[in-house]
Amino acid sequence: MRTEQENAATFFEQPSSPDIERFVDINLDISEQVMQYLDSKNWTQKDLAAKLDKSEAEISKWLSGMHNLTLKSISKMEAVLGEHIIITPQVAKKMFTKDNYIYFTVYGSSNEGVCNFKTDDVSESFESAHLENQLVA
Amino acid sequence: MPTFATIIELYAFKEVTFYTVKIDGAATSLGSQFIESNKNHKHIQVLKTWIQNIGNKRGATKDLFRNERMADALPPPIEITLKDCQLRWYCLRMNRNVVILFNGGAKTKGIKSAQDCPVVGSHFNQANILSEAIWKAFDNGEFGFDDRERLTPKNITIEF
Repeated sequence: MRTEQENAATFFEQPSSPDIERFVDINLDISEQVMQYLDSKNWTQKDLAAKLDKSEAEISKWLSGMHNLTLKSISKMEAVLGEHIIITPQVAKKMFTKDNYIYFTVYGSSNEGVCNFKTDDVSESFESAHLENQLVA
Repeated sequence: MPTFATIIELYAFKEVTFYTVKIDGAATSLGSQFIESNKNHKHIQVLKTWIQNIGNKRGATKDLFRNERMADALPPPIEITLKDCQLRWYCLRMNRNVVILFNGGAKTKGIKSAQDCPVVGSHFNQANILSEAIWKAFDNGEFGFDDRERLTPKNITIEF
């Protein structure tokens, strides 16, 4: 006869369908992100509810990790928080790609020209130091 | 007349260990009763997936547990198919790594408060009584947490 623990293991170890797993994961990601923004602003869920003109219970439901949040609800939260909650990989790349610049200090002697180096040397140095655009995490 | 119950380990995930309570004289624990009664509920998969996610990945962070008086409700109503699902599994979150599962069920639609619901009302009240007893036992030093943040000793008896 199976023990309770064995039965529980059967229940808890049963994998869910991929769409349900994604639904829950994305939902919890959103909840965690919103909580982090609330923390940084010293807001409570009650404050967020007031700003959204919703009840605290409804906001608690929104942030439970299982509510089927609409795009509209997410947009409202983003507007009130003044922050992104979800962005696509394409938008993230545009937002977070940055160019890296290498600055050279050029020394010159008063007896010689300001630029006392060969242009070839400079080109070579610049090429070796130049970095392609990188996505910054 | 006092009643006794035992806290037993039900399932250990990577981040969270779920315990449950077996009341003296009962054939099965409260957590097992919930699983058995609701295993075919149409929304049980989302509930289970949620538990798997916090159990394996995120931990039982306080913000994710909705406060229902003393006991925590796990989870808030699920809305997947535009219909409200009121499946509630009552529990007590002791810390990020320990959750004690009680019983629960599907709250009747239209009834605002869990206490007034004929389906979950008794489970809700029981969860609150047990939560109070568990915290009292903890405060009295009758059990604690080991270095892996699991309850110690094993099979803790509480009176309520």
